[in-house]
Amino acid sequence: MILRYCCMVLIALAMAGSAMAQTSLVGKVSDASTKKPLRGVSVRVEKTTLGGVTKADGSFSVKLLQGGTYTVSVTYIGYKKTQKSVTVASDQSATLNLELEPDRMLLEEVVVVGYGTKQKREVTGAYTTVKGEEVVNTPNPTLESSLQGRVSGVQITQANGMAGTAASVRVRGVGSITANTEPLYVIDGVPMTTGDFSARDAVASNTNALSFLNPNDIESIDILKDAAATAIYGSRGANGVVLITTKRGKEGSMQVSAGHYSGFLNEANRLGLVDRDTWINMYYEARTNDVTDSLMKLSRFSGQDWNTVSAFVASNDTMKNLISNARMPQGLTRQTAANSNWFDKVLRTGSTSESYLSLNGGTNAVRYFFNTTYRNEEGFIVGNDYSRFSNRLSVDAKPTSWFDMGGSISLTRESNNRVNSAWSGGLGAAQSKTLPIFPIYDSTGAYWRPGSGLNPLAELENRRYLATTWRTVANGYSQFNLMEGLYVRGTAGFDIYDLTEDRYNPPVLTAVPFAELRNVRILNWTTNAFVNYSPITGNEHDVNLTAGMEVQRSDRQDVGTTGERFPNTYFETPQNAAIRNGYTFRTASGFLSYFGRVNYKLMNRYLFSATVRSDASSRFGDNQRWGTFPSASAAWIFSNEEFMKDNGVLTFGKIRASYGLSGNAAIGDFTWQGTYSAGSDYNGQPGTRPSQLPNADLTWETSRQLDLALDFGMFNDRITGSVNYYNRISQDMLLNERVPSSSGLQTVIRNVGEMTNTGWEFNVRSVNVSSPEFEWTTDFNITFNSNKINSLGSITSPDAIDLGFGETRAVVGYPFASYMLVRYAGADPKTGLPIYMRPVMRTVNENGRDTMVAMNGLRGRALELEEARDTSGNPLAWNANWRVPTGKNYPDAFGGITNTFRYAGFDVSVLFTYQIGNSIYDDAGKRLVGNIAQDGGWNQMTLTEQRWQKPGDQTDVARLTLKGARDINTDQHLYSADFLRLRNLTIGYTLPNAMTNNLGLNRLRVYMTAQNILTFTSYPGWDPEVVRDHTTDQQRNGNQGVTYLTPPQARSFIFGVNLEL
Amino acid sequence: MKKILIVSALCGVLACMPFMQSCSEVLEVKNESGLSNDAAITDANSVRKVMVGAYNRTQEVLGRANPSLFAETFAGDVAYTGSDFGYREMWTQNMSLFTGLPGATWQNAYEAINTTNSVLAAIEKLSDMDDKEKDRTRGECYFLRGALHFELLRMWGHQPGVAANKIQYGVIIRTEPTIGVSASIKQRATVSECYDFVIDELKKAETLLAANPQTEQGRATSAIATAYLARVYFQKNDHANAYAAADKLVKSGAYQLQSNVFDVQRKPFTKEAVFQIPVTTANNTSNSLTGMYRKFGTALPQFVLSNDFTAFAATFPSTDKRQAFLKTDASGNYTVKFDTTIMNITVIRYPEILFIHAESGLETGASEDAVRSDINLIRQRAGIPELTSAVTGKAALLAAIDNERHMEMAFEGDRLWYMKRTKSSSIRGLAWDSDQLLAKIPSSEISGNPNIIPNP
Repeated sequence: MILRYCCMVLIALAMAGSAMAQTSLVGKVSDASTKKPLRGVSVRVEKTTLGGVTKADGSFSVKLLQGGTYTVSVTYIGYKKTQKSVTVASDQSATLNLELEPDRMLLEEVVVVGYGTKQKREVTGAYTTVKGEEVVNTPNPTLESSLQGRVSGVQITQANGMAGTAASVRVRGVGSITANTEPLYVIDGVPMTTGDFSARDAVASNTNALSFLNPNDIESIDILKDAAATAIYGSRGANGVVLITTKRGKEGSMQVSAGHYSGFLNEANRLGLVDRDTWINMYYEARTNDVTDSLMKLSRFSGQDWNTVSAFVASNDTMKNLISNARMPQGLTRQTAANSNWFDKVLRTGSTSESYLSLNGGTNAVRYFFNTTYRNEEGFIVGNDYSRFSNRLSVDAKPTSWFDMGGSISLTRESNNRVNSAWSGGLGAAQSKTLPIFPIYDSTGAYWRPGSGLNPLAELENRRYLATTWRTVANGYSQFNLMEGLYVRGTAGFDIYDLTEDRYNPPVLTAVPFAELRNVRILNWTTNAFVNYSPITGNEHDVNLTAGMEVQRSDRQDVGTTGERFPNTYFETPQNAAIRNGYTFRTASGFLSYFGRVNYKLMNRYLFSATVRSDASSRFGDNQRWGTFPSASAAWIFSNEEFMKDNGVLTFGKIRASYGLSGNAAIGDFTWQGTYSAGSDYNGQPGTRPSQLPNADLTWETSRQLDLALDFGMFNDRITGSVNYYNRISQDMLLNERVPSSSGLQTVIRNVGEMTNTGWEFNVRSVNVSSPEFEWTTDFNITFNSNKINSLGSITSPDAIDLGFGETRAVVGYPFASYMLVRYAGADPKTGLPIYMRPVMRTVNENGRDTMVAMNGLRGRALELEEARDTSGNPLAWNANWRVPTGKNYPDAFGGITNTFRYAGFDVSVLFTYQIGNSIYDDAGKRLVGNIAQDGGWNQMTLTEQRWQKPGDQTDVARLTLKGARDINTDQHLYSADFLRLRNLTIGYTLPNAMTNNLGLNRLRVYMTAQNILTFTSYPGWDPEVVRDHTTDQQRNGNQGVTYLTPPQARSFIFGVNLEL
Repeated sequence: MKKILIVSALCGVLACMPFMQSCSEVLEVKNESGLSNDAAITDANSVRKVMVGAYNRTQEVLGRANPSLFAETFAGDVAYTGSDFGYREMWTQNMSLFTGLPGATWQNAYEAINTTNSVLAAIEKLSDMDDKEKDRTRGECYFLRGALHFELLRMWGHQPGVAANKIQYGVIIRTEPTIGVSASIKQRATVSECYDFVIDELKKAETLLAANPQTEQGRATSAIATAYLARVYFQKNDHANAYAAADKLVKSGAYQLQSNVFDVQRKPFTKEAVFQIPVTTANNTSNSLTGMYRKFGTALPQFVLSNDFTAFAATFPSTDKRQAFLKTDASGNYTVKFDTTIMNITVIRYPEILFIHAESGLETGASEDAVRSDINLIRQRAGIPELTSAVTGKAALLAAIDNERHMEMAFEGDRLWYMKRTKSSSIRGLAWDSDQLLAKIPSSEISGNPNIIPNP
């Protein structure tokens, strides 16, 4: 609405202006080599505030106040700045046509590095830059997920397709076991608060405080990967650094752009569950199996085989009645069982939309940028919504030639209706314990509830869990240009995160209505100042020095109240409850840092750089408070050598190498301190007790990284790219180590062990066709990463480190988060019982085999596996000692390929992403396949249709039983997570100038985008792109591929329009 | 030149900005979640608070009635109907190292033990606590340490007297506070070492608390230590000492049975209660006991009466007031003994002392009249005819005690230990010395102490 109003006003103003006769300057701007008109070029009249922007035909028009001689300067990205003088008579119109020389090298682009910028061709570290325009106009749930497949070395996985959920980002593999492994995010020089601060007992998906990021605000995203790049961020650089540069005002008259998209979305894939009749048949089959099995144990049937006994069961009336009279869960029978499709009830076709309006312009003295964006998403699960209202204003001023200052402020309100996605509610319950035989409503039309259980639809429609975030990020800078080549710059920034969670369980769901109101406020401020000095410049020697310091502090405070028992249904907040319980939590951390950098360029082709940062953090023990992180790097632009000139193929070539240290400090506050905790009360008296073991030597874990790379540009930069090798060793890993519980304590965080990530990154961009009519560009990247745990100190038991569910483990010699599972050999054809494999070690003695069981002994021993059977050939029960490493959480390779086409006004972009070599452990699958009565009855996947039914059946799915098989993990439910996904398909059309000009617009583009429309995978579950939700960083690191009823990604289709005035 | 000066001045100010925020201050953060070890346990007042913390952890074990619920799951008086995985493992007599209830009991008991160890270590150096209070505090620590080691011992160690081929290990004896990781690993002691330790601890507590009485409700007293001693001696069939301890309590005259049977569990601090853990609305840990036995709405409780127990109870007169504890409705039988939301958790009550007094007395030569009169106190209160001299002879009297104890102490976590002690031939189908009745060393222990000797 606001948007439409603004447009109308602006159009009206433009029309009014054009009606008067006046002094003006008109002309055209075109490319000097192709002679094509250039659109969007900024034309500025020097020493005035006047200027304009060219239209699609390259034309511009500037109204002047009076005649005279003016200098016109023209700037455009990718072209050299051009100036020209022109004389205009009063009340006349003068014509000025300009041709711009292309600034040939793509590699002339600027890279944002920590505390400064650099020419891309001159960087000596590993940086990847993504332009803001590549991540706008997509219905991706998070900004991070928009980067998926576009950045080599960075594995990005959106947690799931629910509105408001987080993504997981791993730069060059996972480098820690206990500490957080997400990169550091820095916006305009201010480190951001990141992580999940939602109430963790609410069993909804994880959230991410970064969800406030609005792609429309972003100029560029630079991802820092190697030590040369990250060491300047010291103790927080080890997981990589993401530098986000926001859009700033550009010199020239006001540019207005606006856009809108809307569309619909649903789940990318639906889990195949058996229908009502099949489920009922399976249930009674399981019962029949159990009866047959128990009869076989009787002496009367001793020695008889399954076929004989089951024939007896089928023909004996007593047995038949025993089976058919038995009731199904909730006392239902074949006659009373309903036929419900719960997925149809809890899933829906959602919608998504976004509108933005942005203004930008200014003079050389003051520039401004303003953007407002509203985004709304109605998720594909009933009750799940998300909206975001973002506003950002930035102002940059240059009062004098020696002084710059400016700042920006962004205000964002996010509102998220969250839903439970675990087994205890919503989609999780609908696929697990809520059976197709359960009615949705009872005869009175009220929600039907299974005994004390829940009705997932009732939960989704009635449970309130509204999370509202107000986020303010503000920063200001001032820069003093003391002399040519010397400036001092100071930045101060605030990041205020304010989350309110409002929860309410109404009487329709529970006998005791419950409400909770919770507020989390995190205040984070950063101040830094640095000096940049270039004492020597020139082609022979070029030296640049940076030195500075930074202080950061973060304070968190949680306040909440729960309430129970309300006088009536009107009152829904704890303030009106009869029983109220409050709680608070407060913590803080601080960093104090000094940093410096030296760049030296010799003869324009030999580049050297060294950085160092020294950090102190309150998170570490008194003995180890300060840490220093140096890096050194060098590069050789060999294409600048005489012998490479005129070679006709290689237009740019650079070899670079770097080595350095960075740290990871992302653990909880105060974990080094031996403490007594309060709250240990007895009989109304307050008490304390020992709660944490001390570790005064606790310090950051250190990542030592070697990076070797080749950057190249061929055929006039038609093909550009790079090849990177890296070897990243995480040492003194932060490890939450278990101590025996008989000590009275549970864990201690120590610096233990070492882990390596080694890999190769390849990026290629190829402009396959480039003609004025048709352009085709291909971007391809692939990353190979291999991870290995080199040591875990004195830890020998794989169970000493708790990684969560599904038995992923940290075992020396294997990749971190390898699955430790008993191998499964399928159903025994004779009995239908599961057969497990046990490791055996052949010995040379006469006894033949010696069964070797200890897991600790696995390393370095040649093992064989054999089917575990007793002496009479019957399968043995599962035994934890038979677990062996099999499969892993993190992929061997991942990446993306983007093809972009432009023809006439059309543009098409197709992005495929892929992942190879990792496995998913379907933790719910162990119940959804074959365990029909686990916990009183679960749904069954269609895979269960392949179950064993009679002797001789060869299948992986064992005999059905109601006896609730042991809750065990085997590789039966381990699946390849390989996938190739058509992530994004966009087709756009830019209207011809003639039409847009008639509408009074500079540019008008319409487009449609489809997300996640095709997925190639062998995984039988919802979606191979999985992040299991977890409460601790350790579980998130070690367990993300262990899915448990995790909802799939969203498949969405949107239609949109972008316009520029 | 002037301009450069101004600029330089401005730069100076700017560069100092971060410094003015006071660099060291940024690192000074207050830990609101925990008080540093060196400040937490320094003076009399802080030690008193840590003592409260030790009781808090004890409440997590005894106040949650964990040993009681564990014992009842095996004893056969109740049947488990719920879907909790850990309870199902216990109910099917197939425990693992992951079984929840024993795991939590182990962890909480050792947290309490470590807390008492911290108090005992700190108390030596205190200058602002008088000797009387020091001795009383020591007495409380010895009591908690002894009682908790004993509760663990019954769950993890075999009854004394098992065959030599059975595992002879009990639990880990902890007497030092855990200060560093290296000190955290210890091996299990044998069952007989554990009994010696427990008895020694309780005796010390008995003496120290007798000289320096603790008067706060819910805290250890000399009498409670004596009662625990009676329980411990009785469990190892040391009848002479068991009788002596029980006799001391009986003779003290401090205890008396409540006339209303419903008061024995639900009323706080009656004269029948020897040791109760106080539970208030603000400090409510009784959920496990009421949660297991109580009927919510139309759903049956998780623990219902077994058919065997229903048949057993039917052998008592219908006028027996204890029959009112047993309820039957359309879907099953259950008990209302604990049917209230907030109630103190009774750890030891007087009838147990009377039963020990009677049985150990009988074993050590007390008169039959004396034995019968102990039992008759309980029968009178239940409103059923007293035992007459027709019930005579050791075998008949033992049978009468067994019968009466079974009925009186039903669902209170007594039966399993009684059957183990008397080497019952079948505890729900298992032999008294079956390894399946032993809790497994929990994963929380094994993962930090991988070489610990496991239970079979």
